[in-house]
Amino acid sequence: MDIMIKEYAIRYIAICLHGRVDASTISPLRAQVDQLLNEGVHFFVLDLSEVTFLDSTGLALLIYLLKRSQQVGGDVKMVFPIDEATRRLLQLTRFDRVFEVVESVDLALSSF
Amino acid sequence: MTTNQQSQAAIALTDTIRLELPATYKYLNILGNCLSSMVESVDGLGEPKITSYNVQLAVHEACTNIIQHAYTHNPENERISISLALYQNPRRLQIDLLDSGQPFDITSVKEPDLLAGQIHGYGLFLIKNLMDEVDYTRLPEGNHWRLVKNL
Repeated sequence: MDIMIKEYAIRYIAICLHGRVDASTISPLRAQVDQLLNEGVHFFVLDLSEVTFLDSTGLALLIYLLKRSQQVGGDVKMVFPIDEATRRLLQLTRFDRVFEVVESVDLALSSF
Repeated sequence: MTTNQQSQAAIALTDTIRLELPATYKYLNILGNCLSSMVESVDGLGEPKITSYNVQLAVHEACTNIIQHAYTHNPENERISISLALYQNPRRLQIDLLDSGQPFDITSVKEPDLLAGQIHGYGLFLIKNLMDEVDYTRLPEGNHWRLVKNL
């Protein structure tokens, strides 16, 4: 009898953002996202709980991450911001419908 | 009241701030601080923090649009002239932005299909949805954006 045991590890990455996510701050985040995608990661949690300002550049990057992940069978879950104005922005742009919104990073990771 | 007195009374009812900023992202926080100070100084606003955020975001988007599209080639050497005027009767905040860059074809921008998860097209959508009036005019010397929020 031959026994072959294979172990596969799936990486889940939580990206926790603080403060402003906008055109003036986006470059390092974009580079980090591209690096992770190129490494083959495609399950993410976006923790926006501490985000206090989000512009169209930030929104575009979040959608970019979702699209790229879903193209390879992955997914992105989102922890909503505590800041009420930023929450309303995500509702206005229907990000609460496009992303699966979860209460916490831990809950997100256990639900993949 | 003479015409001159009426004019002076109108001026007294208006707070105006004028800024001329380099067309780069790094100084937009100055503009944001001015806007939040103006909005949050208004008595009796129902949700001053939310209104302040929305006005800051809309104006930030308009400036980002100027930096990315009007001054495509060399924004570092270009400037944005900004006027913020808080009128009292009726109470409103009017923001005028002037740049000397390329024209912007506002009719070419389609409403984003939000549920399709589009990557682009949120900027103008946010400006229109967060402000009460949005006007764009192409002038001989450049572009003029006027954004108005009723307070």
